[in-house]
Formats: sequence, structure tokens, C-alpha cells
Amino acid sequence: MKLNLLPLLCSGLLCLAVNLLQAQQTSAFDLSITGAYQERTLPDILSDLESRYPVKFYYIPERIPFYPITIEFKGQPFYQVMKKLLEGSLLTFTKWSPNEMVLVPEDQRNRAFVESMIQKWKAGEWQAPVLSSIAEKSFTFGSANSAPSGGKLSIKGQIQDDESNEPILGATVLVRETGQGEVSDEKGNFQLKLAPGKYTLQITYISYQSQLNYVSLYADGDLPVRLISMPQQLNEVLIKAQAVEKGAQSTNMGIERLSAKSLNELPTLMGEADVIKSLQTLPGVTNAGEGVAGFNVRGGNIDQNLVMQDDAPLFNSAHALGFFSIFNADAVDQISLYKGHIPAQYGGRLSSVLDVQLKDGNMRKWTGKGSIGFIASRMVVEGPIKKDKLSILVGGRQSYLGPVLQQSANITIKDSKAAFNDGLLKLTWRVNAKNTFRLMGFTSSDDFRYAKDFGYNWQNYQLAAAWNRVHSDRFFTKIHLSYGAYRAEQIDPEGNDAFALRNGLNNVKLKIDNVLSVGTAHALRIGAEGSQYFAKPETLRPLSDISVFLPEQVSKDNGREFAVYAQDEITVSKRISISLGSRYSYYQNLGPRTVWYYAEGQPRETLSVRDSAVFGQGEVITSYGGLEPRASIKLGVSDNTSFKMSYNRLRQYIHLTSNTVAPTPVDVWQASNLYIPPQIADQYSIGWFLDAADKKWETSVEFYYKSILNVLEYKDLPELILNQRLETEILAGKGKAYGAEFSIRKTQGKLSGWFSYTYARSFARVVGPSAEETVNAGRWFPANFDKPHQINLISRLQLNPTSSFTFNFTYSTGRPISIPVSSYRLGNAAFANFSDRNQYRIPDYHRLDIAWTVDNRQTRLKGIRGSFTASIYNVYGRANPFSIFFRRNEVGRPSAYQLAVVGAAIPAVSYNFTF
Amino acid sequence: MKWLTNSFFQLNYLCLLLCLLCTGCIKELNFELGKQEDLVVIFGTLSDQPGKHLFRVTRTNAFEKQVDSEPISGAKLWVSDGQGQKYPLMELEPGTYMLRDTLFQAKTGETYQLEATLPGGEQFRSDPEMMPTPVKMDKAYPDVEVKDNDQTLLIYSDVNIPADPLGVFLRWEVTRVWRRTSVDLATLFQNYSRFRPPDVCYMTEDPELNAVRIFGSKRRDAFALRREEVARVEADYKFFERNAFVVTQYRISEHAHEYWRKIKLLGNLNGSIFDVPPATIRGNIYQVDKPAERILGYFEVAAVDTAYTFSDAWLFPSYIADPCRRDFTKFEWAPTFYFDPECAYCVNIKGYSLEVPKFW
Repeated sequence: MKLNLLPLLCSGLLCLAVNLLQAQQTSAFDLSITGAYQERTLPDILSDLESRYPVKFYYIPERIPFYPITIEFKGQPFYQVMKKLLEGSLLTFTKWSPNEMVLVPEDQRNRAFVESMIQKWKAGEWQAPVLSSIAEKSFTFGSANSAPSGGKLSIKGQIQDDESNEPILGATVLVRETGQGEVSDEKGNFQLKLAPGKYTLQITYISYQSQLNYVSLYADGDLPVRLISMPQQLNEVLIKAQAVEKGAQSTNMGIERLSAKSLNELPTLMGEADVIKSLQTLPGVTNAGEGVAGFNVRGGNIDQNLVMQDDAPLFNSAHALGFFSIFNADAVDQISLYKGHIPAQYGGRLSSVLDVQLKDGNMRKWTGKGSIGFIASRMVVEGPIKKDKLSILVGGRQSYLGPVLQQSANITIKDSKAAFNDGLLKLTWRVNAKNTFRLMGFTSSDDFRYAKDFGYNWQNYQLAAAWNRVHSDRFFTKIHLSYGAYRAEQIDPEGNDAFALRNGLNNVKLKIDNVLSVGTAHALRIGAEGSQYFAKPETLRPLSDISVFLPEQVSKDNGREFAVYAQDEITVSKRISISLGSRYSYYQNLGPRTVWYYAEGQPRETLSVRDSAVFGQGEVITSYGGLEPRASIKLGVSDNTSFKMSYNRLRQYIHLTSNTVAPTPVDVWQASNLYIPPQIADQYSIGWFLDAADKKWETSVEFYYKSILNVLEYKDLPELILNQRLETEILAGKGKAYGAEFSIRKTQGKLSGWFSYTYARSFARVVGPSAEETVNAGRWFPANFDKPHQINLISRLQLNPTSSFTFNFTYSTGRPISIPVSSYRLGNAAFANFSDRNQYRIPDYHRLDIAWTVDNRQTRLKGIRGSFTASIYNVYGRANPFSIFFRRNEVGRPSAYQLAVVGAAIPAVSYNFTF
Repeated sequence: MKWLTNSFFQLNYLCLLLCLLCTGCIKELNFELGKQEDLVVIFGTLSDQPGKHLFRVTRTNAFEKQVDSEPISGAKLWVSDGQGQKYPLMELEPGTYMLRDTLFQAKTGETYQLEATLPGGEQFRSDPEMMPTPVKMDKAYPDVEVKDNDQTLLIYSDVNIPADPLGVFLRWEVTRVWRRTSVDLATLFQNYSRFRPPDVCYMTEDPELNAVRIFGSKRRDAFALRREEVARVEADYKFFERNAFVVTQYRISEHAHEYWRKIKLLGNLNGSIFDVPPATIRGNIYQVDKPAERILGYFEVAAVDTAYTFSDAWLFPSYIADPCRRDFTKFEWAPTFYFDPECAYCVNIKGYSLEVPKFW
């Protein structure tokens, strides 16, 4: 019996003791507070109160205002003190226990939320913010007395690099009190609508010192923001920039951005930082294999990507046949890939727009950057010609494969060549606050020779001028003029077949782009664009006296493209925004050209030519045109979750004709003509976006469906070289592509990165009037780039402030191929008969790369700061099949062989430096 | 510019970069081949030379099988000319059909058409092909190429190409005949009663497996085609004695040249990034009732010229070893006394003939 009474007695005593203690404890509301604070932030003041009084505060660290507070209390009641402290903020406070106070946004004052807040504090997930590495500034617009009652005020500004004055695209502006966010546009501009009050605007961007602007907003205001570059911060937020505009708050979908500063740290083949290869780590972006030029977006051909450098189009972005790209990573500022919703200011390609923006030269001081790599070195030097007025950026890259090859004992290799280089010059003239001129020149050159057997050389030239004019706070104009040229040559230097085959394309483009803010809810973009393609004739010339070739020339189609566009970004409410736009494009196929007419009802071939007509220089042969509506809508479910939908129609008037597995440098850009109509695509996308844990995690799922009219296909084994009747080899079919892209990103912390899974299908169908003009009996067949499954896992571990480890795993389904299904004899020789087009696949592709970067910034050597990146490409040495082919051995037995371009782990070291 | 791609695709463009990377590789693969497609194959050449004009009618076979075509017996074939004259063929052996008139010579400028009816009743017809004007070979000759210590015998052809507004299109086939003299066992063992005098055998073979050698030019003027490579043979023991090479040149139509170009293209696929996507190659024969049906093969009409050239061991800078040589000066000669059967008696070599070729 005694034993049973003991627990009851103990518990009763315990209850009594607790009640006594509670009775003796002072509630926070009974406290009298004394203290004086000069220019202190609210977290500071709260922390001080906690240290001096028996009170504990809980709040959302991301939402606590940081504006400076000057205040004094002399024995004032706790309740009044709190009211004073929170005056002007959007926070209120509530009691959780007598000595535990919770500061919450007014609209989130409910028990469940408060409870979850407290749990996070107690679990250590939330902590008081530390502001030591953040720059702080205060601004006051208007006065509290003059603040309008009701309605919203506008605060806008431009974010610039403090040193170079370059506008910063993609910087995040976060209003801590409201959670409202904005991302700066390509001019660094942002705009927010806020009710009168005090706010803390937190501005962050990769590798820049974050900045807090304490804004007392009582009238519309301009907020100039100058961020200070902090290279040492780069590693900690590497992946964050890639998530910009992908989150739940952005209206756009299907946009990927890469910061050039992250390129050097991704493990790459032979340590060469590469824009195009880096893009292939993103969901929905693939290519045909290692050493292949270009990239495929959502199952589209490589010519369906508009690749631009400083708004000037590029027609071959490959060095060394495609192992590397021509972009100088040290000169690149921002890389944007539009693959879902393509804004109306872009057009001319069906699948994506790759917009590579180069940096402006530094306006304040001379700096340089470079890299010494395994096969090439590059360098960029920039600085002011006239401080804050005129800057120059000069860059270049040179490979040194030539001397390496010449050391070989093998004659074949010794006589071979694989040289490439590129050079860049950019001048930026800031005439005044409203006018800026930019002039960019770029050249790249490749010379590839295989012994004395054959060779290729190709060159890109670009010259671009841009004038940016700020008419007013709400009206901005950019006029851009560019000239681009591409030249390619294939040579066979010796023997009866000695020849040189040359082709090329010139392009002139003029674009006028106007951005106009109307009211608080509309951002209008209106512009016009004209582009002309001057195709160089395909020319053949014999290269020796004994060559059997005669000089020959085949003229190619010229074209002219016009477009006008308008787009409105409409902010309907905090959670609903719409982007509505349309583009009208019009195209003319121009002479000089001989046009052949074919007999109706007969296959289009040389034998069915019935007539021809000669068109003179500039004469219009045929024309096409039509509307290209674009729309996108964001429906915010909560602050962190949104659904987005988009629709795009795009037209493409110039096409790359290629009948090889991967593009070659001499593939010809063919403008649309009487027989090659423009390709037209309609793309529908829908996506769900969720940002979790204060944007530390971003997840998204996107679904898309794309149908294409007049997709370019070819007859079996077409002859595309020097063919004056190319239309006899080309077929127009239908295409469709659909898929889902799932990605999850961790954007902050020591471990950051993303995982993405893409399911993507791409099909084509060609039904012609004859068997020769029909593919696979008119059935849908997988397009050349149909790779259903793709997985990417990129992660980065910040080991310590100076070193980091990057890990990259990629997997994709093998691409479709045609294989032999039977054999037959012609005379004594046996040959293979192949299956229908693309009915089989090569084995799957997977690869793991790692890189370790050590930033020895602490040790400057004569003003040079450097970092080493050691990487291993293809760590487990998988011989990923590039292709499958079939051969018969000496006794005629056929076997399948796989060719792997990279069959082992490839280590590389590169040294990146800045000065 | 169809002939450009010939040289284009012969080359393995990736080699260089593979060397650079030092890691690229080609390896045999267990790859499940597709199910066999049962297609009709009709192939033959009608020439301006008298003799056997042979045509084969077969079906495609499983790709994995070494015997490549299944013969179709019992078909009826005939060739008709532009005048309506018909020349019937008879079945020489299963699947092989021969023009009955062995003295038949196709006439220059005349068009010919092949028609066939299979035992199942399916009818096939070719497009008309015109017999081109003959082009004589100037000469054929051998030369040896040494690269990285490897010796290769090249057979070249020189041709004087005549002026022709339609261009000239040629195809070559090269046959190798190599000689092997049996070991003179009677002399070696001084036993003339036991061993008969050594035989001299002539073996005929294709020097290049499944090679297609073609040339095409649309030059309208006459020009000299020099050192056109028509065969390439790696040095082997067969060169110890004299070899003969029979170079047969076919002047073919542009359409036929295009057909062979595609055949060659697919035969030279090496998996490089510049490979063309392969496909079924249609010739000039179609099924009368179902023109869209895929029929393989080609009805070729060609002006034929033949040249002979020879190679001897001295042509090679490096010594060609006698595969039957034994070192009898050494004590250990006894265990190596026994020659390979093919050395002792060349009649053991597959496909031998004791008849001296007429051109030898």
C-alpha cells in the first residue's frame, strides 16, 4: 500500500513546487524596461533585452527588419516598449508563455504557425541573424507626415557593380518585412510596390557582398545600389545564381541561368571551363555525345537554338569540332537559356534561346583574369580608358595542341593539327547617366588537319554596336546593330581528290527594343527587329594540278527576316502575374537564285524538273510570315508555391542542313525557300514550383508538349554538298516532343547543388507522295535526339573557406540509331541492309566527374590571386558508347562494335587567376 | 557533289582526337541485332563483253550468318532492249541466272531493262539503263607504301578520261591471283621415286573484303586520271611468290555510281561523329505491283575493260618471308621437318587451281 502511495505523493509535491515557482516568477508584461539605443537594429535590441531581462524573443530571422532604430526607454512597461519597437514594421507580438514573446507578421498570427516557429528556434534551425558581413545603408523617401494614406508607393532602382559600374542581372531584392521579392533585369533594374512604412531591402547576388538598405518609404523613390564584389564569397553561393528566376515567385518558367563565375568550378573535360558543356548539366539539355558541337533542348535539333553573344547571333559555337565552345569563360557575365517560355523579344528558333552576355570593361580600375589549362590558356584584361566614362575589355584564348602534336613520333599525328584561338574586344562608353554605347568585336578560328588526308578550318566574326538610352525612369531603349560572318572550309590536300570546299554565311541584324513601365502593374516591351542572311556560295576549287575537280560554285538561298513584337508583364496581384505578348515575323527569300520547278504528282528529283526561273539580286522569290503569340501566367498558391503555365509559338526561317550523326563545320545554313518552308512550333508548358525552408530548397516540376510543323528531315542518304537542287533531298515532316522535368535544388549551405530528372520524348513523321519521300512508311519515329531519361546530380561541398569539392553525375538513355537487320551479296561482296530509321538505341550513357578547387587568395603573388582546380572527368572510366557500328572480320563474320570517345578517367588541372 | 563524300567518309575523323585523349576506344559489343527482314535482292551486270552475263536472285539473310544470301530458284528473268528485243536468262545454279546467249554484247547507246518473275508470281522490273561509251584503262600498276613499318601494296589505275558532257563514272573490281609452289620434297630428300615434282598452284581471291572502288567526274573535258587507287593489300606471306591482279573497270551510269557511292558510304561506317545515319539503299529495281516495296540490288549496264598487273617480292622494301622455309642447318631441324600440308602440297590450299591463268 505504501508503495502505491509513493508515486502519487511525489507527483503531488512536484506539482506544488512548480506552482510555487510560477507564482514567484515575473511575467514579461510586468517588467519595466530601461535602455537607450542609438542606430541599432531590432535583433540587436531584442538580444540586449534578453540579456538584461527574463524574456525570450522568437521571430522569423528572414523577416525581421534591420532598419536602424534610435530609441530610449526609462522604466517603461514592456508592452509599450514592444509597441514602440515594432512601430512602422509589419510585425506584431504575442505571448507564448509569460516570458516568451513571439514576433510574427500580422497575417500569420495563428497558434500553429507560432508553435512551428518556436520549435525551429529550439531545434536550432533558426538563429538570430548575424550582420557582420553585410553592408548597410539607410534611405528615407519623403516624410512620415506627407505619406499618402492608403495606396502603394513605388521604389525602384538599378543594381550595379561598384567597381565596374556594370548593371547586375539577376540580383535578388528581398523585402524582409513582407517577404516580397524581385529580381533585377538585364539592366540591373528592379521595381517594388509597397505601402508607406519602414522596410529592410536585402540585396544579394552571387560573389557580391550582400547589402541591407533600410528604407523609410513615404514617397516614391529611387534606390541606387552598388554591390561590392567579394570573390571569397563565391564558393558559398555557387549554385544560388542558377536558381534565380526559377523559383516560385518568378513569372517565367523554363529559364535557366548560369553565372560565369561558376563555370570554372564545374568538372569539365581537360579542365576547360565551357559554357555549352555546363548547360548540359541542366534538365532538358543534352547533346549527341562527347566531342559533338551544339546542344539539344527538349528533343530539338541543334539549329533550333538561337545562340547569341552580346545579342549578336552565332552560327557555330564550337572549337575543336565540338569538344569545347568558343565562349571565353572569363569574359562572360551572364548566361541565360530560355527553353520554356521564350519572351516575345526573341524569335527565329524553335527550341531555345541562349543569351550569353559579355561583361563590360571595368570603369574604375585595371583588372585581369585568366586560366592556364591543359590544352589552352585564356586571358581577359579590362579597365578604364577614361575613368567612369570609357572602358575596354580585351580577351583571348589560344590552344597549344599544335606543338604537342608535333612532338609525336607517329607521322600521322605529327602531320596533324588541331589549333584554335579566339579574341574579343569590347568598348563601353558611358556618355552620361542616360546614354551608353557598347562596341564589341569577336573572332574565333579553328584549324583542324588530319595528316595529309583532310582538314577543316572555320572562323566566326562578330561586330556589334549597341546604344542604351534611358529616356526616363520608366522608359528605356536599346538599339542594337550587329554583323556576323561564318566561314568554313573542308580540304583534301593531296591526290586526285585534292580540293577545297568552302561555304559561309553573313548576317546583319538591327534591333530596337523599348521597355516602358506603365503604372504600377505593367511593364511593356515593344520592339522591332530586322535580319538579313547573305549566304556565301558553296565553292569547290581543285588543290592540285592532277585534281579531277573543276572549280564549281553553287549559290545558296538568301533571306530577310523582319519582326515586330510587344509584350506586357502584368502584375495582377502579389500572387498572380501574367506575361502576354506576341511577335509578328515576316520572311522573304531573296535572289540571286535559279529556282527549279518540278512536275506535279512526281517525286521531287532531278528527273522531274520541268522548268526553271532565274531571280536577280534582291528579287523576292517567296515569302512567309505569321503571328507568334506568347503567354505565361503565374498563379501563386502561397508565398512559396506557385503554378505556372505558358504557351509559345515560334517560327524558324533558317535551318542547318546536316546529314551526319553530329554536325560538321561545313554544314550549310539554309534559308527557307519555295520548297523549304519555315518550321513552326507550338509549345505548351505547365509547372509547379515550391520554395522551401526560406528558399534554401527549390523544387519544380515542369511538363511540356511541343508540336512542330515542317520539321526538317532528309531522304535516306541524302547528298547535301554542292547540290544546286537541295530540295530534292530535303523532306518536310511533322514533329512532336513532350516530357517532364523534375528538379530539386539546394541553394545555400555548405552542401549545395541540384538533382534533376527529365523524361523527354521527341518524334518525327514524314509522309510524302512517293516511297523515296516517305520515312519509315509514314509512321512516327524517334528523332535523332530522343533520349527518354536523363538524370543529373550536381553537388558541391564547401570543405572550408578556401576549398570546395564538386561532384557531377549524369545519366541518359542512349540515342536512337538504325542498325543492320539483314545482309545480302552484290557480286562477291556482302553488304548490310539497315532497319527503319532510328528503331534501335545505343547503350545508356553515364558518367561521374569530380573537381576540387583550392582558392589560394590568401597568398597574393605580386598582386595575382589564383585558384587551382583539379578535376577528374569520367571518374570510373566508363567507355560510354558514342556510336555503334558493324564490321565484318576477315572471314566475313559481322560483329557489332562500339566507339567511345572517352574511355578512361581524364585528370586535369587548371589554374585560374585574377589580378 | 557526290564524289566528295567518298574520301570524306573513308577517314576516321576521330582518330586524332582519340589519340589526344589517349582514352578513346573501339571494342566489340554484344549487341542484339534486329530481326531479319526478308527482302528480295536482284543484282547483275550486263556488259559489252561476250561471256557469262550473270545475275543473282536471292533473299536477304540474317545479318549474323556468314552465308549472306538465300538463293531463289525457279525465277524467270529476261533482259529487253530499247527495240523490244528480249534476251532470256537461264538458271545456272540455285539463285544464279545467266544470259542464254553467251556471245551477247550490249551495244553502246542502247538502253536495257531487266525483268523478273519469281516463283510466287511477284514481278520485278528495273529502270532502263543505257550502255555507256567504253573507256579504256591506260594501265594498272602496283606500288608499295610503307607507313610506320607496315608495308601495303597499292594497285593503281591510270585512265585517260575522254571528253563527255555527261561526265564519266567508273567502278573497279580487282581480283588477286597468287602463286604457291609446293616444297620440292623430292630434291630435299633426294627421293625422286617417293615424291612427285612440286605442284604450282594459283589461288584466286578478292584482295579487299567488300570494298567498293568508284570514281566520278562531271568534267566535260578530257583529262588524265592518274594513280587512282583501286586496291589496297597489306603485305602477307602470299607475296613471297608472284601475284597477279586483274583489274576490271566498269564504266557505269551516273545513277549506278550514286548507288555504289551509297553502298560504299554504309560499308565504311566507323562510328565517327561524321557518319551518315544508315538506311536501306534502293537501287533501280522495283516490284511492279508494289512500287513502294523495298527491293535491293541493281541492274547495272557497263562498258568493261580489263588490265593485268603483277607484283613480285622484290617490290617490297622489307623482306617477305617464305612461310614454308625451314632452317635445316640447325640440329633442331628434325622436329620442324614436317611442313604444313599447304606447304608440302599446295593443292591443300582452299580454292587452288593448277591451271596457269591465261594472263600469267
